[in-house]
Amino acid sequence: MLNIILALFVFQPIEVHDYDLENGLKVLIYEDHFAPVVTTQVHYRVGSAYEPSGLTGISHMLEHMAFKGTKKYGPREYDRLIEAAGGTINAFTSLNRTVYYAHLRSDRYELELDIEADRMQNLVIAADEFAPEKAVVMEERRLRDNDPYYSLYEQLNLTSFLYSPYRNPSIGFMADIERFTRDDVLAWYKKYYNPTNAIVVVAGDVDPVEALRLVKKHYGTIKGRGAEKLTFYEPPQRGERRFELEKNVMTPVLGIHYHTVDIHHRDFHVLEVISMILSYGLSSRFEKGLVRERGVATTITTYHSALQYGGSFIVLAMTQSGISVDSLEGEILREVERLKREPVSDRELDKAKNQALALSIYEQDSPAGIGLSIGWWEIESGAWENMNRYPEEIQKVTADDVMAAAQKYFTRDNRTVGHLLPEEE
Amino acid sequence: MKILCSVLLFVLCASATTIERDTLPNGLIVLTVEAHKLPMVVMRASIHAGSVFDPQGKEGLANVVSQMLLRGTTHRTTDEIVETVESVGGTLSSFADEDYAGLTGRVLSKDLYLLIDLVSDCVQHPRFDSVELTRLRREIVSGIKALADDPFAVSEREFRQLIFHDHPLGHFPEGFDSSVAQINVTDVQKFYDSFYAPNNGFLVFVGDFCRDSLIDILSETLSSWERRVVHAPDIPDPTARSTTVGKIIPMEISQAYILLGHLGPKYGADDWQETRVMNYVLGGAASTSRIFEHVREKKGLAYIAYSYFRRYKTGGYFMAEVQTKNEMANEVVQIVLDEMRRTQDTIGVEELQRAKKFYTGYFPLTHDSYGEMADVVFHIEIQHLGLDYLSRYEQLIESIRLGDLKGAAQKYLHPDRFYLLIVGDVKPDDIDIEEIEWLE
Repeated sequence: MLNIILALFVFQPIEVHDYDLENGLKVLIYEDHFAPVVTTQVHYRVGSAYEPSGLTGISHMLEHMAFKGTKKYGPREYDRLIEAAGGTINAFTSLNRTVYYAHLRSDRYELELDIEADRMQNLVIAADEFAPEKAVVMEERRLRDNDPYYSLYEQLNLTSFLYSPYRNPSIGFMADIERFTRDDVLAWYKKYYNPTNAIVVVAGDVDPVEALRLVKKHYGTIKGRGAEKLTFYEPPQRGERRFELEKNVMTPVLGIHYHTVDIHHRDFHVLEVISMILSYGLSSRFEKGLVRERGVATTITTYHSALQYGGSFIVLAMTQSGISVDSLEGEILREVERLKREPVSDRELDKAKNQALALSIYEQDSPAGIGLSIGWWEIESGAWENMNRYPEEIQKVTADDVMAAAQKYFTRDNRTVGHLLPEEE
Repeated sequence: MKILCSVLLFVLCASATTIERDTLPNGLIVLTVEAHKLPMVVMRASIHAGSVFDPQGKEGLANVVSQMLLRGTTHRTTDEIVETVESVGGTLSSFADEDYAGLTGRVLSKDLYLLIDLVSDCVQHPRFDSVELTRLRREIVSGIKALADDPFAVSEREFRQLIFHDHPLGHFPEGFDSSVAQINVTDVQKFYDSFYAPNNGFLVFVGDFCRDSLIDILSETLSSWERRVVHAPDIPDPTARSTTVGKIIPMEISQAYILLGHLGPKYGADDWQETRVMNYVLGGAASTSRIFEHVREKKGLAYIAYSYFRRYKTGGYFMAEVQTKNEMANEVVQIVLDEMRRTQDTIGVEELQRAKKFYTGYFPLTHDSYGEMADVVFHIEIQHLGLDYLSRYEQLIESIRLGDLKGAAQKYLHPDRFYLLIVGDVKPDDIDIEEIEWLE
């Protein structure tokens, strides 16, 4: 009982000022007055999951071109302006999102609102900037090809997802990068960059009334052009898939993928807890049992991601020298099987829940961190408010839930296994 | 009961971002920043026992000692330490830099006293088990060896050795694979006994707690940790060689790593802010510094070009680094030297203004989380910057005049006598410098 009272007390819901402008722009403002800093972020609902065959990587290419000049500011001028103000600026592209953000002293954050409003409407995507930037992106693609661990991860997704665009690498395939034109990128920009398809997040030392006024000033007159709602679901996997990849590595690496659930499914929280049990911290089953005690791996990590249209549970492990990848696979699968057979103890379950809950608090420890979380929940789950339900849902997970979820998702038929092996001489 | 008590105190305490400094009866200093935006606390326990105190031949000892604090106490095994903190979703890890070593932790505020209890045990009653030490040595050595092919890691380590030669700042806190392998339990115990005293360290807490009750709890929990006399070895200032010295580490890579620099100010230099602002103009600004712009003008020379001053309690250095094609190495070296000379000659008013705007804007970004604030408070303490540093900072920067920058450039830049380290496929004859002594 004390635990529940404490949990309710500790996990205070976060308060976000939530506005919808007439042009469809969602504005989310969060106050954090710990330091005179404001993060300003624009999250677009577009990423590699939106890309049809032939155009993979185009969202990422657009992200590059979005720093290459508008009618108002020249190429890389955004960087120079933010740096001159003592701020930092960056961007990233993922499956469902393209995000631009800057962190600035709180009396200077209007600069980023101005820059992002300009970026939303006025990109030039000039031909003379496009060709060299495409060469840069192609070089980035080559670097990925040379990175054996990335290659394993990419191949794992390509083998696991046969239909869903969640198979797409955000960098894109080389053939597509070579193929798409400046006009393709411009059309992509026109289609997806508009207020209706965007979220502005302002987090930090702000007066919410003033912040809303500034957002309206810069974005209020931009015309909304609608948003595209995707729906796609990967058909169930029917049978184990396996592959081998030979690359320039010293020791073999193992990857295992299981299809899981989208973010709205109740098992999302159960899988979060399972991920903690298996690999979070030095006392987790993989780290304590397989890395330290049995010495079969140097690192083992699990990634659980539940997004709008499906989820993945991935295990990546690097073999200890002298241990074959087959025997490491056997050891890992034995641990996974154990989850299906033996209920986790109360103590281990509580630890995993406490870790998940504490992490959700730690992630809020900077305006940048909480701003990115708010945007993530808004886009992936459809409403930022869902992040406030997270602690409660984690608390509800039982040992039976853990066993049932392990039995349901960690099956042979739902599994894809990849071995990254040293090239044979 | 303690838990409920802390919850209630968290409600009653007022919020204000000020740094407080208390001293416990045993001499341990406690710095606190109370804040209540999130129910968490970040802690940093630091002992003046960094790698400059490593004995010769045992480089890496300070780091080993700090890591051994978490590898078993007389009350808890390694697993029990880990289990205790992780069971509440907390983290606890060790750190060791050149000057200080210790522990950093993070917990939800309801678990703060659990963390304090654990840290108190680890710093007072470490067991220094030989099996654990053997395992730790192996982990550290394999980590060091893994960096042997990484040109960036090699260049940084070699440059430090080149510039400080036999001074203890010449090695990184991790030490060398050969020296770590020599460290035994007696070394660890002796180092611990020499430095790990409450009057030789300080704690930093940032986050959701009430200072008064925290100090009470600390006084109680740590009262058995007794004050004792600590004899810190007297570390002399590093001395510069009398000539320009170069060294090339041959490596077959397409991009050469070029590091050029010399000794610089240590902590406590009066003209530090001026020096930092001067360096911003020279090579500190990410995309507008003189070195960066000059290198970029020569299209394709490099993507990475910057300079910095790094400081410690016992010494410091200036370093400019450019990564470029092997055949451009000489051109890049000349550019860096030209820009060092030009910075000694002239700095424009607009450059000064730009630097001021950058630093006054960037400063708050360095402590906008509890975790980063703990780091800033750590530096405020070890550099004696004063508890009002956060509020004084802007004034410090705004009061800098053009003449100050010129003075700093003339005092702290030495384009006529420096150290040059190149990792890559470059020969001494490729580099056009008069009176340089090349080391093997």
